[in-house]
Amino acid sequence: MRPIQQQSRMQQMITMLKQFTWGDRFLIVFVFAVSIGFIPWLQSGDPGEAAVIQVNNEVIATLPLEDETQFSVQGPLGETIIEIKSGKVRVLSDPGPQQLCVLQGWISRAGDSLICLPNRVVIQIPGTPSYDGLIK
Amino acid sequence: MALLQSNKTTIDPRLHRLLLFVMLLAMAMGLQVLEAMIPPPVPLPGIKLGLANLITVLAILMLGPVSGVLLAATRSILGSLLLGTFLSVGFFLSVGGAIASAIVIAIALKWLRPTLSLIGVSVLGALTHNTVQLGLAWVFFIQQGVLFYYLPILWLLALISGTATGLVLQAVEQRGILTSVSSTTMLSSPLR
Amino acid sequence: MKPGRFYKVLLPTMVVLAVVLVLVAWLRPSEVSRSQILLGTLVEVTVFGTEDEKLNEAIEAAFDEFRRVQDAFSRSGEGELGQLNQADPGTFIEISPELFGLLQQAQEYQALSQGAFDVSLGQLQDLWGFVEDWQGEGQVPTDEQIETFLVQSHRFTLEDGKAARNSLTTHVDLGGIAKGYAVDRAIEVIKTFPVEAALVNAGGNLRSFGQVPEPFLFWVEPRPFDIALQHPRQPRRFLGSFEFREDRAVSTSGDYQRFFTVDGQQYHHILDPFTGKPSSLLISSTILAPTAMAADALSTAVFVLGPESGLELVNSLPDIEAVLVMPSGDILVSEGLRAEQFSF
Repeated sequence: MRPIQQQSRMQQMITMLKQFTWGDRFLIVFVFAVSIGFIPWLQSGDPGEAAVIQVNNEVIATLPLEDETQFSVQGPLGETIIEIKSGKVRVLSDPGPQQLCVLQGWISRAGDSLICLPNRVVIQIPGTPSYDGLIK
Repeated sequence: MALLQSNKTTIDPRLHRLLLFVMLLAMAMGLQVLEAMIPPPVPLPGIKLGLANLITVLAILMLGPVSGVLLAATRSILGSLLLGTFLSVGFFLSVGGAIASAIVIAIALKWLRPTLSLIGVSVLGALTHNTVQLGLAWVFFIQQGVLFYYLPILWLLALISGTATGLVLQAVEQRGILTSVSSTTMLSSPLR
Repeated sequence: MKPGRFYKVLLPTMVVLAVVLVLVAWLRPSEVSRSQILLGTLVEVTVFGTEDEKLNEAIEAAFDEFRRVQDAFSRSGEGELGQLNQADPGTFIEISPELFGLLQQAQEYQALSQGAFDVSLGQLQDLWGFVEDWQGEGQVPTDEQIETFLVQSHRFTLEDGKAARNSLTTHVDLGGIAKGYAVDRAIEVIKTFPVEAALVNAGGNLRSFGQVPEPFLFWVEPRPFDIALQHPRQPRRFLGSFEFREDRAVSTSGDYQRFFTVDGQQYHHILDPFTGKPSSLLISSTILAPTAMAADALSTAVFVLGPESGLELVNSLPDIEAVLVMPSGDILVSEGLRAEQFSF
């Protein structure tokens, strides 16, 4: 009984596939190929919010805030450790004498930044803040 | 479904058209509400699978392109009232996507029909629906390149939902339920 | 409507509409923003325009100009300012018209503020530890050490394209003016590119040009720049904000910007030329002015002058406004602003 049932299912599949004209098939395959082709490009961007890390005026990494990671960067004074956890980012440790960026704690809003000036490390969350410029 | 075939009876064709329109509208709104229960594929307001395109194709086949586009627009406006999203961000994306896909479906049905079956037509409609929604979101709300990273995902989703609605449409057509009101009844109507 | 009319009238109309929409979207101004650490602070440059490539070029050029100003007016390096600071007192040395102009401006602000703004205190700053490449450390000098910089005239003399320092203790430090000057220069450089609007923000020193071209439905609606003023004690709060409709600059001098702590006591970088110690009449002074250099110099001057003479000076000058925060938390504003706009 079973093989017969399977075959009828196969036949059902074939009749269903026959409903597709060559135009349908071309359209589907074409769009599928284009979409798949875009995927590597897709992965280069960050759909979520992210932290952009600069050292010595060079962007060295862009980390999505949804990750849970610790990231270490090397500045002129030494190692700055950046922590990302549940959508927020902070500086865990920094060789700078004042520790201003460590004391600032967590940031999460677009436009926020942590600046470890002595070690030339800048962490920014890109996006549109509620203001155009902030005077500090 | 008996009413769909009622053009063989002596019902006033204008009333028949109206009844069909309203019935299709109700079905489309039902699908739209159903669709709202499915979590959105991407974290953007208003971007949906576009299952209600099924009814748009039916409406264009049965009532003609103008009524089809009108139905798509009415459906998304009334549906948003039902869902409480009227005049929200998602509302504009929904109306824009519905109208644009109705237009593309109308064109495809008229000129691409032998090459594309109803499956191909509804795939095109779904692709238009998603692409236009994303485009509108970009033009009016968020101008960030990040938005376009969603495009391939939306296209793949459109392939799935378009093929699914297309297969349903094929089944409907094979059962002979589809009869164009605009071409047969209207012309033979004594009222014209 | 007959079905035929859909293809003849409605469809072409919609296609034309769609093409127009796409064109409008294409011509929409975009925004490019970048930041770098320069002149000891984070410099953010934002430009708005329709030609993306030109926007990037404008930003690069602005940073290049910033870097040039930074290197040209370093007080300790091998540049002309460094040479002036090492020259024998009374000996005139040839300087560039640019430096000459800057020193002239510095003297004007010095006269205007009756000595509260002084760019020749480089050695006094070094004594406190506020060296050019300050890393966050400092020490408190004794009163005798400070005295040596106060008793002698530590000025400089300018004479047709030449400058001379008056005494060995004269050490010209353009820190109170160079940041503003660099912001002004960056804006001037950006203006040579096809850019609709720009914002240069060097920490506490900012200048805008034009208005933000904000996309709205099918067209572009320019809106003023919204500039927020950070609370001097709580970095996550704002004191208030300004709307910049035309070319406008703002600068803040505050005791929280650069300081070090010794025995629980905080010492900040804005030194009173009369006492040689950090000035404590205000905790922050914010100046709005047509140029960033004016804002920069005046914010320092007013910080030292304190609330009464500071506001008197600001109200005597055209196009200049001020927001001052007293150590008590009270906020004073100049005649052109309303105090209700700000809250501590």
